[in-house]
Amino acid sequence: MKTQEKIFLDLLEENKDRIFRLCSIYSSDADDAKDLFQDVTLNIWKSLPNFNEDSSLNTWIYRVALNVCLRAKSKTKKKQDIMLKLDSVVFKETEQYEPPDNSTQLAQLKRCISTLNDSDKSIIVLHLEEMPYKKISEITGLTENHIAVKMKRIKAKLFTCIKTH
Amino acid sequence: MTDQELNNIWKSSENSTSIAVDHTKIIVEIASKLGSFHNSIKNRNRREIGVALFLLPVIIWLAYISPLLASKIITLLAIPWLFLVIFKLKKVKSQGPQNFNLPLLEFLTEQKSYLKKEKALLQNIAYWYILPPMLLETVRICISLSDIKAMTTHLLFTWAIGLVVYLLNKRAVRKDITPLIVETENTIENLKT
Repeated sequence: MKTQEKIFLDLLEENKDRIFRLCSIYSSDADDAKDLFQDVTLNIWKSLPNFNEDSSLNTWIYRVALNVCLRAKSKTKKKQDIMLKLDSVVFKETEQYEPPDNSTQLAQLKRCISTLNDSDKSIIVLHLEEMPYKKISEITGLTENHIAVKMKRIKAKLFTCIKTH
Repeated sequence: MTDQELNNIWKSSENSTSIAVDHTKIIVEIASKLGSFHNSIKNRNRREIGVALFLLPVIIWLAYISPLLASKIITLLAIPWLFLVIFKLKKVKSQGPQNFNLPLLEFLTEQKSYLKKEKALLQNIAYWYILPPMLLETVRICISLSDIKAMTTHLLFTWAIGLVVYLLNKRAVRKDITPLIVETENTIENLKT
């Protein structure tokens, strides 16, 4: 197997759940999230040859995913590119799925995240995926100090929202 | 609520949806679909050039059958206009933001720049897309037709088409492009503050 193919498959396998969570935040429903995930997958493959090693691959993949999610949001209905569906990416509803005990809190958290603006959403989701500020800085193009300041503000908004509801 | 509690809640979102990627097929499928997608873009570009190449002999023929020299010249002036339109449309299309490798802030800045170019293109559409053919056609009608009534009808029809095209593009700028620019600018502003 060629190197690029192996790198792509390993990257996708390692990060698919995280990317899907990111896509869910920028989607209105589950079907939208699946379409967006496939769009991200395609663009990861397209962008991989241009990876210039200015960050780790795991950081880079988030950059691509976030940019695709935000671009998808800004397309008008008229200008929607035809979504390229991938039959080799299969979404299965987990059999005997049991919601976690804190599912209400999770729903609340997602609802509160949805009230944030797009840039705050992107930062908080990266933080929730346990990205250090340095990596968030590489993904967003902001300085670490700036990320730290924004994070304080975003968390304050989030906690207020969660407490209110 | 602490940071750790927040992270724990987020992490507990084990998806009710599991994602299975068929490693044996995905690369081939992506390559094939991207290939089809690129071919459809190439075909679209070929169609646009094809239309221009089709119109070229039509224009030459119309110039040939025109009785008056002035009318012939006016008709032939449509050729450079045709190529100007194709050139302008291709230029904007080729500048679309596609570099997803960029950090978010840079990517959004590039996107905003592209949208502004598209807006400028449509805002100036009267000057490069509508006025030249309208003026050429106006002169051609005035030269070719002697009957005032027929001339007036043709002129009104011609300029009505021009007006409709102008208003449609103004609407596209107002309803589609400007809101996107505003949204992108807001996202950039929120990111920076």
